[in-house]
Amino acid sequence: MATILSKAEKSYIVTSLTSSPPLRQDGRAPHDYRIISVITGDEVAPLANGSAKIRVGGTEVVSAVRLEVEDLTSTDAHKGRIRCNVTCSPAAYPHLNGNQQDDIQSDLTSILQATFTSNDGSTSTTPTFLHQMSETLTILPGRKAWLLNLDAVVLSDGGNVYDVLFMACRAALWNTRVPKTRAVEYRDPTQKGVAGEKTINNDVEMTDLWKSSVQTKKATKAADFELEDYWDHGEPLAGRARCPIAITLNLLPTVHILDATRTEEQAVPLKLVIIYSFSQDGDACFAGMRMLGPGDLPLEYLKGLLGEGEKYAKNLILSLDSQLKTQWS
Amino acid sequence: MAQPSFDRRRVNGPEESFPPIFPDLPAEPLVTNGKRRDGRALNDVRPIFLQTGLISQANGSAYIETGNTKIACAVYAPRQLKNAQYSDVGRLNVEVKFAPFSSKIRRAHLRDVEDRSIGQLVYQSLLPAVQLHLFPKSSIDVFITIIENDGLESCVASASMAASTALADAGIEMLGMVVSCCSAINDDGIWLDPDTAEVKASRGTLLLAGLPALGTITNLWQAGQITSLDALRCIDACHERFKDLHDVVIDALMQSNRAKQAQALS
Amino acid sequence: MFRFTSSTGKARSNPVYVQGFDNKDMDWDAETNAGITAPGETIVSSLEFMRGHGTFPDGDEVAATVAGTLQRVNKLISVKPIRSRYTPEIGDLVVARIVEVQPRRWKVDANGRQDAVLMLSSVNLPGGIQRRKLESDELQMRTFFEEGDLLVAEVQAFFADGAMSLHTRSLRYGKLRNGQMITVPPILIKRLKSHFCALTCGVDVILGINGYIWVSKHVKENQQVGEEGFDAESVYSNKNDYIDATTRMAIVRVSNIIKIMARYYYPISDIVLNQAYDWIVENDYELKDLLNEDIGEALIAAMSTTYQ
Repeated sequence: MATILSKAEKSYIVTSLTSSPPLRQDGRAPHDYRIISVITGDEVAPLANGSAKIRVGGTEVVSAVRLEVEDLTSTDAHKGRIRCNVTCSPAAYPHLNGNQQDDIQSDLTSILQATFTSNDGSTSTTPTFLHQMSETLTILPGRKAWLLNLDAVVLSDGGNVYDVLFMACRAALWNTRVPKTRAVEYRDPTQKGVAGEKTINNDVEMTDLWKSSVQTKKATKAADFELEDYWDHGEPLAGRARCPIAITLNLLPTVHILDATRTEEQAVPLKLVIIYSFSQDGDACFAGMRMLGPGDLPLEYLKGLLGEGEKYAKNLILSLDSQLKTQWS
Repeated sequence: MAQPSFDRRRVNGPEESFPPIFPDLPAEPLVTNGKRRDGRALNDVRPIFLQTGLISQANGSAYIETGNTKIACAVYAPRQLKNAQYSDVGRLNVEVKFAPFSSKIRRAHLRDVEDRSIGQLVYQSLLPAVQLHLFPKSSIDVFITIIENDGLESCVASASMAASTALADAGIEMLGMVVSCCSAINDDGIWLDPDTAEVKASRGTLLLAGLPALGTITNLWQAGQITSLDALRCIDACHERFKDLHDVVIDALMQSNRAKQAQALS
Repeated sequence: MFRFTSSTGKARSNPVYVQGFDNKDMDWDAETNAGITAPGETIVSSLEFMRGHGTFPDGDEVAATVAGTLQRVNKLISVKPIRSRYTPEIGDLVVARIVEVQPRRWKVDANGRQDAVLMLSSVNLPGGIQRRKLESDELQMRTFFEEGDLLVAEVQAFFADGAMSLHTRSLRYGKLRNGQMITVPPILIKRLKSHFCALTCGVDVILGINGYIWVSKHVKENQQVGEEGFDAESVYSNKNDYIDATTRMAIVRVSNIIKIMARYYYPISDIVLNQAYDWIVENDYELKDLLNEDIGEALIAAMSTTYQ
């Protein structure tokens, strides 16, 4: 229900927020979220490798992870990677026409994709969370890896869709279980790969492979993998604690609010979306920033907001993680 | 290799083709003795060439060149809003199109997601500057064509400045000129105005746009992984350049104004 | 700051407070059980009854077409749906929002099947009630109401296609300000003598029969605009008055109470709101405590047992 608000309503919301103490339409403090409902795993999408449904007030997002095997020699990828996609249910934005809905979908997809794809050519020594995740996603180094499809569906949008989207993705990645595989060689039937060993001495094989893939289309080596027993008990993704989350701040010149409802978003349209990723030691890293909506800010105010956002993000991650751990260790 | 789909409107290449295999040359180091490959210091932006009046049909236009990046911008404004919906403020439309030959890999001739996201970034940078409440029921259309692209973030920055200049050239009332600067961060420091190779090798990039006349920031965009301290340093580095960029933009506008005046008098 | 729950958040499994209908209005026969019918379900097996809304003849029997409660008045059988769009009657008081401005009329969303119409001739023009409409008024309709404005009006008549025609030709009707709007299912609002309720906590509530409720700062009787002083500046202005913090907090409390009632399908009236507010003050709850599900449940339980 995207109704336009009247000028009197917008002014009432803004005056309440700028009065002291600041008051929101439902009585929350400016930095309070609505009640967050987290459901993970089999109750959401039992066929997926990992899934979660997050509901915050009227905003609901379902996210699911599906792994598929990717042949690294025939694509441009060098290791396990993540591919993101966001779809908006037509019920989420019933007042918008098809093209506008497509635009929202592509905006959400591109921010998700940009955050979850690392810079492959980076010469930096600091590993990103994707580097860590790629280790779990490798099956046969250089040859086969898991392609992680991260799909999210926005079921309804009652405000603050970016935060809920990233929360759902983090929760889905948290309970993703990568099936255990074992490398197998068929070249010499007497030399089966040892269980659990994933690396094969393949110097000679690699150049053979290179030559053969140039001359003929695909001369796939016989080296392959198989699923171990109890493959579905799988292992969690390494680096899942560093998965990024977003904090959206709706900004007024003197005050900012978190988790705005639809009506609050209309009255306070300027927002700053900051995406944080926390390392094991608790150091924060920015994984993305976007400024959306009409308005401009003084530089010092902006820099201050970045610091405030970090505190909120830390709290959110702690609370969300403890919730996820109780549901799924 | 990938099979190109047969398009009967174009002259198609051979059905099956493979790219040539080049010997692996040793990669040129990006920074030697504190200077980048084109002789710039780490905190230097590429020299800017900015001129208005390139597209005579449009109400306002600007052409900008920084290094290898070349961008043309045309503004048609103010015009009647196409759909019947009343709005008491004007609507700013920004459309960006990459020329198919602009990047190393040929781009499709249709608009794709990247065009839209660049357009959104330029829109966000320009929005607070334009006095939309003076143009009810009107639309202000900004068309940006990227002729050559050397660094996506610097494309956005240059496009924002070109668009701002073109809007001023079209006589649209604005609160100030928008300038924009991008930066990349890596282990050896912050590089301003990075080109494609530098972006690829960096850990993260950050783009800042603002109105130096009002002293405010209109857009902030970041990708990759940057620590909070580094991000603040990037923001400061970009912000320091605003004054110089602003001078360049104003200079270009003044020059074109003088040229127009001289032409009117003669 | 962050509170979590693992419930699915759907409505409680027993929203049995389907009390939107006064049993006194219905004339019950012992055999026709006051049950809920589903579409296609046979109600009575003889055709001696006249069929009203929500029924259709199924051969020799009368079947329901909607999911709702049975109503029988003498020989008239009809089924009233549990949830439906607001069905307007002449004289209803509604809170509505302007959607479109057209020549000499406004299109207004009043939660009905169609957008309602507010004619330019049905509003009070500045300068006194007796002022006649001028050409310039037609060109300046946005100075009165523009897209997004909220107003309170009365249903005057129906157009041939079923769209409502509204009027604001009383000093109590017109543009709304100084508050916020809550939406509830229309069934929860019973038809009362007066829909302008002044609660004991200093908050005015306008219960639109269409399910739109306006909660605002209290306007004293003697401060309401008199006939001579019909000033366009104040009546059609968008500026809010100064509202102090206590009133704002009271408005938030009342809004949260209304949302809880809507969630549990509890019918809303001014008596009910006053009682709920007193209960909250007695138990000394904070503003945002009302957002907790437990407190909401406790409130509804208290309302239905103690005060029924």
